[in-house]
Amino acid sequence: MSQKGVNAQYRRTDGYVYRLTVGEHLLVSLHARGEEPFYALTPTGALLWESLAEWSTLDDLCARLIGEYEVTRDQAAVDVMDFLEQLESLQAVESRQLES
Amino acid sequence: MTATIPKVSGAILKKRLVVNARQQRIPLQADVEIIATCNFNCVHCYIAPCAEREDVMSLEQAEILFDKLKAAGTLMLLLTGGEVFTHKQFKEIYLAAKRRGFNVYINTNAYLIGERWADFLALWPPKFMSISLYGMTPESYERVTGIPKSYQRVMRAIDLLLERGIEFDLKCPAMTVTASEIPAMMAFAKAKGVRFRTDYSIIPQEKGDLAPMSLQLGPQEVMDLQKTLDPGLSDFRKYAAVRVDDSTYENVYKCGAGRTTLHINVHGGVSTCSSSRKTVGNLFEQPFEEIWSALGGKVEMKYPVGHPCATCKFAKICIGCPATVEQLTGLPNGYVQMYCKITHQRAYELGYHPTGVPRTVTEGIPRHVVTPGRATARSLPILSQ
Repeated sequence: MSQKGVNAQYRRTDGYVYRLTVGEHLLVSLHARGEEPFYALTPTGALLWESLAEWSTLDDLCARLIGEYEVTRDQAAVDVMDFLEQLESLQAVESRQLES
Repeated sequence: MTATIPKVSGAILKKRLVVNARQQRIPLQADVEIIATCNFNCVHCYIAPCAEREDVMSLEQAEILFDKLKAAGTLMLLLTGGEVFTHKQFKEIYLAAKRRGFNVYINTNAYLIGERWADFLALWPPKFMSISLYGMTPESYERVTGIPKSYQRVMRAIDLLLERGIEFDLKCPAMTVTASEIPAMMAFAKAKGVRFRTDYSIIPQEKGDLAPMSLQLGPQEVMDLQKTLDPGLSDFRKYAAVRVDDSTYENVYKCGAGRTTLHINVHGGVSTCSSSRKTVGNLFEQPFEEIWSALGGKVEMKYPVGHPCATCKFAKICIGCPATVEQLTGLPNGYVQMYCKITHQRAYELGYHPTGVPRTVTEGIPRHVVTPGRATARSLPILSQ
């Protein structure tokens, strides 16, 4: 787990809108051009996206997953970091460092 | 359990959405007419000539609609008119749709798209735009639109959108006043790197005036144009090959109308699509479920026994559809001989009628065949073509 992950807070940007339609959890881009300006999320991804409405630490996000699913903290942490990296690559999440 | 964004291409995801929406009967796509008036006076138009100044959807009304559609599962939202850019609150309505997470499409004549609108669209890109084109010279353009400088303004708008990478296609109805320039329009679109499409079916005005029908191309004119656009009909041959079969069609509606799509007019009236002006209810006054159910009932309509379209092997390459038939005859399961003539002429050109187009098509269907709306259909002058 990177230091940034442990010592940071994350929040979703306002460049995407979440939609649940036809059984698909979708992130719809407000500013992207392209063939299909939306992405599918897994249900757990959708759960984290909801949490990211507020500034959240890795611990906050892991706790949300552990609260909903039977998963170890280590497993949850790996998943959350992967997900955050994916969101960062889409500029769908912003981060700030916590004071140490 | 994995929190992730699965690596699924947008196209595959869209296909999955469409298939599942069809199975679950979810209105994935909605066309919303936010204004019925237009800044062009096109000779063939079926909406704007019937429109009054007050035929405009307010921002508040649009937001009510958008909320209902979002709750129902709509993802693709087409904003159409009239001319949407003449709406005084178009920007607000467009952003209201975008911020609700719709993939927004726009139909426009592009006349009002200058630098400012182009910059706005670059910042807030629509999923796709469809621009109407009416000619390749100022004179021919104005003959259709009735508006000076319409050609120059639209050409400039096209360049502004291209410079900003906004995705759009160009389209033009094939009719007597545009047919000769449609090949040039197609070449123009190709040179610009955008898709061009045309449609061979003209429909009467919303309130029944048949004036636009005088612009309808006849069977041979349709074929002549189609052969110019598609030498040897090679593309059309491939298209027809997978659609011409001996199936019988109990259902009048074979498209997604009322199953995954709907159209909402400027007053909230809901119909199957933009070509159908017969509404089944009003979204400003009734719950969505009630109207969606009524629309579902409409598109379950069956052909009566003996209807020629029910057993026509060329039904899937017919230039008409239940909506245009409804506009012409008053009923979606009516019969329009003009469509029959054009479609069988196409079939003949593809080699499906080795002994020529059947007399039932050229001379009319036999008297014993029951066709709803027949009296109405037969009273239309276009049927004599």
